[in-house]
Amino acid sequence: VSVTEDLTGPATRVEELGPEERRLSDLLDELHAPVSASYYAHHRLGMATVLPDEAPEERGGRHGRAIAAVVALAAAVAIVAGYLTLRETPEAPAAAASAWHLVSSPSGETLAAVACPAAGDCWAVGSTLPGSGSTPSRVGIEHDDGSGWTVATGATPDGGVLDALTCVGAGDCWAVGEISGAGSSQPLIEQYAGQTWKRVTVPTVGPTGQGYFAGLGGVACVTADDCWAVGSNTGVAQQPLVLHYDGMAWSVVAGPAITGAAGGRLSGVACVGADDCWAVGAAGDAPLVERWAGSQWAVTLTPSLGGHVDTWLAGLTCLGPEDCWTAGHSGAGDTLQPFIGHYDGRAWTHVATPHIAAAGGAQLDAVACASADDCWAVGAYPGAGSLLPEIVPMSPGGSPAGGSAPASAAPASAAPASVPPVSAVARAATMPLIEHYAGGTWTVVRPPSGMPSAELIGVSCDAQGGCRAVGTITLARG
Amino acid sequence: MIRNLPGRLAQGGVMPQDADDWRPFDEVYRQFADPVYRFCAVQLGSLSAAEEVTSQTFTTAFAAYERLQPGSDVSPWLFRIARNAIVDQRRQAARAARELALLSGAGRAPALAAGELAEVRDDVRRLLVAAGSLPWRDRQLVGLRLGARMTFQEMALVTGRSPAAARRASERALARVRRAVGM
Repeated sequence: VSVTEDLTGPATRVEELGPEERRLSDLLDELHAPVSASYYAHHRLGMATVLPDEAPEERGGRHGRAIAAVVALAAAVAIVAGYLTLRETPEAPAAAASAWHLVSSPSGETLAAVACPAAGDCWAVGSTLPGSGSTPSRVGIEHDDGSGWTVATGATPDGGVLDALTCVGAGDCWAVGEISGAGSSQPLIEQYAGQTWKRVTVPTVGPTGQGYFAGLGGVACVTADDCWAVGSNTGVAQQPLVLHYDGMAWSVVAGPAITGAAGGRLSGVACVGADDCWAVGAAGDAPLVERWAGSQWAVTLTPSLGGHVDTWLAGLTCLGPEDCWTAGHSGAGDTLQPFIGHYDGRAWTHVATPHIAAAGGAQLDAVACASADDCWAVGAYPGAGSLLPEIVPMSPGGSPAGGSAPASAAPASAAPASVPPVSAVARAATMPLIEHYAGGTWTVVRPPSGMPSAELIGVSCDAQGGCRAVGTITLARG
Repeated sequence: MIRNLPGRLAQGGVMPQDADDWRPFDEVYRQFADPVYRFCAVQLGSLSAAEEVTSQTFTTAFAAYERLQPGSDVSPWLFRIARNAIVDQRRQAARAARELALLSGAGRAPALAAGELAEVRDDVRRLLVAAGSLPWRDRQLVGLRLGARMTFQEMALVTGRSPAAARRASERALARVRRAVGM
C-alpha cells in the first residue's frame, strides 16, 4: 500500500486495488460531492446551524451509546434455539414470540460457522475484525461445553479467517477458510484432534502473488479420513477449488472448469457417502451444483433451479441420498430474494419461500436440518425500524399470493417493549432473517426480541432438535 | 495537521488520539466528501439521492463527532453512518412510492433520472446502472471498493463481515460491473 497526500486538498489514497478495479474506480473520480450536498455548505452558509430535532443521533444518542457499549462486549452473537415449538403461518408470521433467544459471545468476533459434535460440546469459528490501522484480522474459535461460550485456544494466525466447520466426532473437527496478506490469499485449514486447534499443511494453490486469491468456504467429512473442502481460486478467472483429505494430507482435486468471464465458485459441500457428495455455489449468474460420484466432480445440470436471475447457492445440507437442501439468494438489486432448492433423489428443484418485501431484498446464507421436517435457513436483509420485513405469502406457483401488495408483518409500533431503544432499532442497517421448514412449507420466523442489527451467517442443528445460528452484530455507533 | 498525526492517519485515515489532537471536522469533510458521495451514488444509483444522503451523513457525523471515542478510526465510523443513512433513505423512498402507488411490491432503488444522465459519462452511467442491479450487500461492497477505494480489511470494518467474505462477495460483483462497463 502506498499513499500520497495533498495537503492542499483531500488526501488521495492509493490502495491495493488491482488494475481492473483501479480503472473502474477511476471512472468514479468524475463524481464530486456537490457543494449543495455538504454539511460544509449548510453550516458555512448558515442554512442549518441547528440540527433538526429528529436527527437520529440527537434523538437517541444516549441510548445508542449504551447499546454500543453492550455490543462492544458481545460483538458476535450465537443464537441458540431450545425446543423449536414455534410454528408460524404466513397469515400471522409475527404473532408468536420467537423460539430463538440471544446468547452472548465472549469476544468481538464475527462467527461464520457452528457445529456440535455432541451434547454440551459446540464449536464456532470465524474471525476477529481487523483493528484500526494495519492490524490484520485473525482466526476466531469459540467453544461451548454446555456452560456458555468461551474463547478457545488454538492457531490464530494473523490475516486468517475461518468460514466453515464440520465435526466427525467430539475430538475430530475441521475448520476451513483462508489466510491473506499483501493483497493475496491462500487456503487455511485447521484441525481439532481433541486437544487444541492446529493449522495443518495445505498445498499452495497457484497462481500466487498480489491479486490472486484462493480460499475455502465449505467443508464436510464422510469419515475421519475422507473429507472435502470447497471454495474458489481467483487467478485469471475465478474457478471452483476442491481439496480432499485422505487421512494423511489435503490435496487439490481437479474439477470441471467453469467457462465464462465471471467464472465460478463453490460455497458449500455435503456428503451422504464416500461416493455421494454435493457441492454448490455459482457459475456466473447461474446456480452451480457439482456432484462427486466416486471418481470425479462433475457439474450437475439443474434446469429446475434455473429461470431465476442471479442465483447464488450459499449453503448446503443433506439428510440422506434423497433429501438435500440448499439456500442462497436470487434476483438482482431490490428484487433480491431468498432462494431455496431441494434434491429429492432425482432432481434439484426450486422451492417456494415467502417473498420478502424489504427495501433492498433479502438473502439466505446457510441451511441446516434437525430432521426431514424441521429445517432452518438463516441470512439477513437491510432493515431499519422493524424486526421483521414485510412478508408476502407465496402461492404454490412461486409468485406472491393475493397480488403484490405486501402485508406488514411487524410494524415498529407493534414491537415488544424489550426490543432495543428506537435509536438502535431505527438505525439498524441489517436484520437477521430466519426461515423454518415444517409441514412442507417454509415460513419466516421472528428473530428473538432484543435482537440488534445483525446478520446470521451459519446454522447447525442436532438430532434432538436444538439448533444454533451464528453471525455478527452490525449495529453502527453513530 | 495531517502529516503530523500518527498511525492510520498517515495512511489516509483519521485517528483522533486525545481531545487536544482531534482533527477539525472540516478536514474530515474535505477528505471524505467525495468518497462518501461516490459510495452513496453506487449504492443508490441516483446522483440526487446520493447528494441528499451525503448531506445527511455529514450532518449526523458532525453532531456525533465530538463524542467519537479517542483512538477511534473515523473512516469506518463515517461509512457506517453513510450506510445507515442509505438504508433510511431507501426505506423512505420505498414507502413513499407505495403510498403514491407508483410502484407495486418491493421497493426499488431510484434509477438515474433523465436529467442526471447528461451529467455523467456513458461508462460511468453503465457502472452505476450495473451496480444498481447487484444484491444489496454486493452493492455495498462495490461502493466501498470502487467509491472509497477501501482495502478488504477496511470493508470488513464497515460491513461487519470478515475480510475474506468481503473479498469473495465483491469479486463476483466486480466481475459483473466490469462486463457492464465493457472492461
